[in-house]
Amino acid sequence: MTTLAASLASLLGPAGNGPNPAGLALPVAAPADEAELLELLAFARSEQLRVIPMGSGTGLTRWRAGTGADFALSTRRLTGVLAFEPDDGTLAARAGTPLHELAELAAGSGHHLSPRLRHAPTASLGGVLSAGRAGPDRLRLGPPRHQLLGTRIALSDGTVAASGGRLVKNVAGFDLHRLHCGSRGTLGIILEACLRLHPAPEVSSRLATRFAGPDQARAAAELVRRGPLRPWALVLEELTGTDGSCTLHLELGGAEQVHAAELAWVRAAMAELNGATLAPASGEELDHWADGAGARLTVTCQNSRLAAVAPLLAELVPGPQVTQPDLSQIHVFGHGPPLTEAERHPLAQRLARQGARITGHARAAEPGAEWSARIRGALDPLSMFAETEAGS
Amino acid sequence: MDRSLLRALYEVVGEAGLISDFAGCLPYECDALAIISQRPELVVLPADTEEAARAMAILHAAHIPVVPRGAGTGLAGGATPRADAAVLSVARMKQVFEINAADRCARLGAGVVNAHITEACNHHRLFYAPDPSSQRACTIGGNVGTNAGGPHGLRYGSTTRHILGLVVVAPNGEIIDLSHPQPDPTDLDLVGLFTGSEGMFGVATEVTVSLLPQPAVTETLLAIFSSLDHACDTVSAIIAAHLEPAALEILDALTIRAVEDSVYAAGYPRAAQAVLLVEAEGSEFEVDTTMSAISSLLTEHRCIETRRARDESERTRLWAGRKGAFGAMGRIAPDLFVADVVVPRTRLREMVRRATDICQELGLRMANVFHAGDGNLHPNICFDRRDAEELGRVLQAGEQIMAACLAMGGSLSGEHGIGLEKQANMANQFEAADLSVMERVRGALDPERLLNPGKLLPNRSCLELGDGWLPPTTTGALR
Ligand SMILES: Cc1cc2nc3c(=O)[nH]c(=O)nc-3n(C[C@H](O)[C@H](O)[C@H](O)COP(=O)(O)OP(=O)(O)OC[C@H]3O[C@@H](n4cnc5c(N)ncnc54)[C@H](O)[C@@H]3O)c2cc1C
Repeated sequence: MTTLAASLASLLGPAGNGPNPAGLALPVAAPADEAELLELLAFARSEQLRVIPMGSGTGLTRWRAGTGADFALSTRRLTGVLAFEPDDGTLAARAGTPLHELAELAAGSGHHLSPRLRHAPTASLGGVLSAGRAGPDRLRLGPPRHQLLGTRIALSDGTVAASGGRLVKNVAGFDLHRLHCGSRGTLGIILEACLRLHPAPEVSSRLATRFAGPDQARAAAELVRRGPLRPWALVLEELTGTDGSCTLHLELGGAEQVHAAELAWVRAAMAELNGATLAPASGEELDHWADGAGARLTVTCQNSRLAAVAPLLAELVPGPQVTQPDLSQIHVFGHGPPLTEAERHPLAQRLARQGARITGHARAAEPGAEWSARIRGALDPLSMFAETEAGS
Repeated sequence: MDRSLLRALYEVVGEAGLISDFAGCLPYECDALAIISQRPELVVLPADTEEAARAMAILHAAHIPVVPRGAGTGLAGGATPRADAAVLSVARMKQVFEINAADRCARLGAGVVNAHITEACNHHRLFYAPDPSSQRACTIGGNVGTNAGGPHGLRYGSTTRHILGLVVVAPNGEIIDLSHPQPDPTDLDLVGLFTGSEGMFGVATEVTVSLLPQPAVTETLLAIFSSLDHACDTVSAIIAAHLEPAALEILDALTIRAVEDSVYAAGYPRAAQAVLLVEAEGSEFEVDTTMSAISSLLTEHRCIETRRARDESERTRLWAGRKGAFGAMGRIAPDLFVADVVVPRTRLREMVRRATDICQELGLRMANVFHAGDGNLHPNICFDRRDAEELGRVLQAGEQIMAACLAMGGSLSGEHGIGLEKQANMANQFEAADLSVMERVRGALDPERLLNPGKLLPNRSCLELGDGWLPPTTTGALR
């Protein structure tokens, strides 16, 4: 055991020196409660150590740990529901609570918790929010930052501060919780968060239909987009067709009569388009493609650019594509590992000319980079929280 | 005001963009919270981002605080000037730069009036969702400043959900372009942070908003009650039943009578103790299902009558009464104090009663018109500001209503913001540490605290923060 790991173990006891789910080459400290977490931050301050905040570690398979971190601080043991108000539609919990547990709790009262992340069963509330990770339900409900009503955060100097609250509408104070959502732990450690809940569909269906090529599938997606539906997910997947065909996955849901009417509409629309029939499909598959796990590259652009960006991307990084229209996102799959930073750089420039960008690529030139740096400096003046770098 | 400063500003914004005479500055002395006012000595009205940036750089170099302003319809004193500050109004920035129907977004000058956005994209069958009742006057820049809500926020959310990008002029005049064509911020969500920051981080000069497809069907229903309690309970029941109407708005007896006596008369029954305006939007099947479920709940909760708008003109009329309600209250008293608090939606009835009791105990007339579906109450207290003693009681009632709402797990503001009005109360909703972190972020973006100083964050706790905090020189005089 290294000296650092030994110090962490002596601070937290054996349970606090948990296994390392993300395969990080770093000691992982998992404090049992907020007091221990603050102690750990004090220790990091006194030893001038750099820390990677993490939830359960699921997300770190996507983000390569930046250089210079000394240990990872996991919130996975800070669990528990703090307030569940089904009749007001809000749910507050500690950061380490597994998201699926919260989703199950919400489902018990007929609610849906967003983001839906079926493929990350161990993901924790705090980790998901820090990563800003969305699920396929984003199409209907918006990104995680729109679900977040408030947070409590621990900063590197030991300050614990809240913003927002547990109300569906509230403008008191600056919305600092919006900053933490998607900040990948670079501003502080999320201790607690409150989410807005949505009515769960009474019934839902997942459907798929195959088209001769991506153009036809895109046309079908556009038809759905312009139609009277409120789909829960919409994905175009090229992988199934070795013959160049493309599958459209669609998820619908709602009150029984609404659902029946939506199904009838979409069936008729697809039949009219080119005689396509919609077959029942697995939700697992849809969530898997929407998630983009294992993609070599993910690109976003405006919806209207998708048709131009997809062929360019195919030329630059050959491989099947999975597109989420309306979310304006394309995942590129295929053989080989995620592209390295050096490989991405020239691609990023070509794609930028088409108004597209590679997710997680090169932050320095982003709009507002200086404001972001100043905010980081203000909230983490010691630069204790190490940055993580985009994987895929 | 220093002549050379005026000359430098004149060179940037020209005659149309500069006001420094007594009479010209007078309209800028307050926003719609008219009980606090302070005439500014200087009002700058740049025509575009470039002019705003150059003007801000000049003011920054002269260490002159800047109070950003849209249309001045704010109800918390957010745009109320200080004696030593210049007002920077975006009212001339009315450019509609782009309506992008394919990507459902619009890029606008910050001075574009809210209602004009939907008018500009109507022919694409798109609309801009946030609809504050002041939408025919307030600007999109001001809406960003306050994170404005509105009746349809129940279905669509407040302004923050609809802002895709901003161009901001920083306190030192630097232009910060926070607009990007992708759906997500690539790093920190600065647009989300800026929205609702009440002009304390910079001036938004361009705003990219998302547009939504117009619903195929809209159905509006007026539910009439013989008790305000029943109307509140109905709303709590609709939310608890997971129904998703587009709007749920309550007007009480005093408001109904004021509306019916005014030009906004909507045909609300004068004898009713409350009306609930219900609107559902979406596909035909969605609207039918929602409305029939709501109808059952209305019966269950002792609604005595319902009236369905049969066509667009009836619908417009029903809404005109709601949106004109604040204006109509002018018939009851010369002044109106519009409180704005939020409680969990399970506690609507309790909070409305509490507010009513508070006003009764203080001998004040109060009318309720509010966004019930969001738990966002507006107890409106009628008064005459020339009567100092009565004004004192109004402010006391406001304090007590806020305290009661916080005790129920609520918030000081659902949409109007904190501004000058609720600044001191922030310490009752937030811990000192929470406020100190807000202050840190502010200091990071405006190190000299020149943007809208003396607003939102309470002075007392700020003074306790010590380090680097510059106390405001004035906070406006109570008239
Ligand atoms: C009759 C009436 C009904 C109303 N109904 C509603 C309602 O339903 N919902 C609701 O939310 N509000 C409502 N309001 C309040 C008000 O209209 C909103 O707060 C609105 O967003 C203010 O817009 P404005 O352009 O008038 O901004 P102002 O009042 O001029 O400014 C508001 C705040 O934003 C800041 N600000 C203004 N412009 C900018 C900018 N470009 N960049 C940065 N900061 C800026 C100001 O400094 C100030 O703090 C109502 C007001 C009235 C009088």
